[in-house]
Amino acid sequence: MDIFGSMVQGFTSLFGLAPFIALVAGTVVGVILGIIPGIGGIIGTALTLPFLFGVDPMLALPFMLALQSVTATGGSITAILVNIPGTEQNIATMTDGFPMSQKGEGDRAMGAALMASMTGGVVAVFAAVGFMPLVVPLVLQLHSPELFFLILLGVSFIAIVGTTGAKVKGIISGGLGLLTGLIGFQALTGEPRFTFGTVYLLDGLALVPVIMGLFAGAELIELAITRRSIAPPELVKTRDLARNLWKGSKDVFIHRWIWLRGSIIGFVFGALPGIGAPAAVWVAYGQAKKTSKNQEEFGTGRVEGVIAPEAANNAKEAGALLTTLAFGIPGTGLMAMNMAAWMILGLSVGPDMLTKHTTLSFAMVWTIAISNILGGAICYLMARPLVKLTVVHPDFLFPVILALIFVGAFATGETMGHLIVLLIFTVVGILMKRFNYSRPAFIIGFVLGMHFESYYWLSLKFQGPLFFLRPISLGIIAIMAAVFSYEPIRSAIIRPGKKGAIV
Amino acid sequence: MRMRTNILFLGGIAVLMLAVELGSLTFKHLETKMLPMMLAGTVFILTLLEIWREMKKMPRPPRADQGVKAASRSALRSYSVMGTWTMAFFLGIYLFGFIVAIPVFIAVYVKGQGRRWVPAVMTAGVTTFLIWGVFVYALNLQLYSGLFMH
Repeated sequence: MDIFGSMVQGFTSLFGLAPFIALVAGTVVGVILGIIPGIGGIIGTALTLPFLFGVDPMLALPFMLALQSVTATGGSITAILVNIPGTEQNIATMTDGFPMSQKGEGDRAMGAALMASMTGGVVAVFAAVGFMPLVVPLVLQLHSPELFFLILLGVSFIAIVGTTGAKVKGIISGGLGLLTGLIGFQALTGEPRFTFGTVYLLDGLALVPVIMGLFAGAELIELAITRRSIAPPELVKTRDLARNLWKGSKDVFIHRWIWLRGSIIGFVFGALPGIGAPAAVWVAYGQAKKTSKNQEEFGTGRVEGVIAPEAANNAKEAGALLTTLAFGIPGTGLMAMNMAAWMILGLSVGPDMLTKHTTLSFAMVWTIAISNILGGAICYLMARPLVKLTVVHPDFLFPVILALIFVGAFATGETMGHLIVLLIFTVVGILMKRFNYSRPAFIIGFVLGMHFESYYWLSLKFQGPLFFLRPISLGIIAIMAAVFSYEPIRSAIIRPGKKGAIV
Repeated sequence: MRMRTNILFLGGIAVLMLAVELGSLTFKHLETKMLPMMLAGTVFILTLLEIWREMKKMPRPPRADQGVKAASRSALRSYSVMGTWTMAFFLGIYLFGFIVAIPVFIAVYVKGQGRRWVPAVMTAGVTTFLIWGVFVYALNLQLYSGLFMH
């Protein structure tokens, strides 16, 4: 069957009664799992795996893909309203989303996040469909050096997301994050680093308790001390909810270039195996800040800081699916879980999926598009009760959210060690906030540090010391140089006193 | 006062980085020690730079400002109180498990803030029910049952 025929048949196959119900069910479950801190798509998929034995693939596949595609959408809600990221992909969203809630604009931030997520996911699907024939030769060109420089690109954004006017502090934060990410086994030598003889630290620090402590725990303690609700009640008027949700949704179209770049970054990073979601969302956030005329306001509640990462975190799923199908190499942890599920269902991925099973491949891709639209719609309907969280008094909010944070941190590993890490990083988060050190920069360093080191040594080992001279590596270096030199060059060539004039 | 505590914080980071440098020297392989040493060295230098900048900005020692001192003591007291509540909750989980510690903590905390028993108990009950329903019943998670309840 030709490509177009497979595309159409893949789309229509999802509208049989049973597959569509499975898709809707997966979407609802995915949104709910995304809202619950510490759970997210990976745990949700892991929990559904035992039930897949003997199930028709045309029911199981839409359910699972829909579940994974929308967890980031659900996670954006708690990230924005109460500064708890539902998933690791929503950390960047918190940076400006929560300050918007504090200003009484939580509903507008939600509107922007939901629209960016929905449209970013759908656009990436069309990109996946269009790029499907091209992806095989492209991804085969990527080796350790290219992956190293892509990670370096993500790490370099530490300097961009660091607090304006405190760049050195931002780099210190990023450096501390990188160091924290090195705790555990060194990947190449197997030698333990900074584990102090404990078994718990051999695998390094878990991401979820670190994030929850740094952001949610720290903000919660501050909230309880001030004894004020997240947003002043007089600023949150639920009768204006629909209008503010729409205003936020329109913001995506007003800042369409930021949204488009965020979607492209998400798709590309999702397609690259071994990079992962955190790099995608932070690079998207960093480009939004870098290209904004209001850079110094990022971190205080700029809607662009919500649009870019939310577009990226949904777009990456389509990219990740593409390379997973084409190579059998999962682009993200979620796709790795998907592959386990496909094996249970009797499917094996690889180039044959794009040549002999194109209808099924297109059905999977269309699932992501449809579930993104449905997930966005569900979240819009849930917005009214959820936005009221921002005016609940901390006398009630603090103990409830603290309980949720503790359970969420415990849930990721079922070990009390996670709670100790949570407590330690709550203290670290409070100190960093008090002394104006960038917590986002810390997290970027933390999540990317391990990959950064691994790819460096692999590049050195297999390509030699001149590994940076590979063409694609040079291209990435050129992009980094362009991004960081744009502003100084622009400032240097604009004649002083003539604002906006170019010599 | 704020600047002085900032310098103390930076000093703490500098000491930590020195410890990381010294600790890294004990690793056997170059691949293991190289990145921690480079990073710790860089952060150490940046920290010293930042200390120097903060000290340049520091004004002459002011006359003892009772208002500022009182505000700092009050902030420290607030953090200590919240820290105590949080640690008490953690201890409660460790000793009695999540399902006992959560409702007790929520009810006692809400009442401790001056609210009435009815909203305190209702908040505790609803939260515990939701957590149990979602994490234990639906997601089949094994919540820690505590040292005494094990």
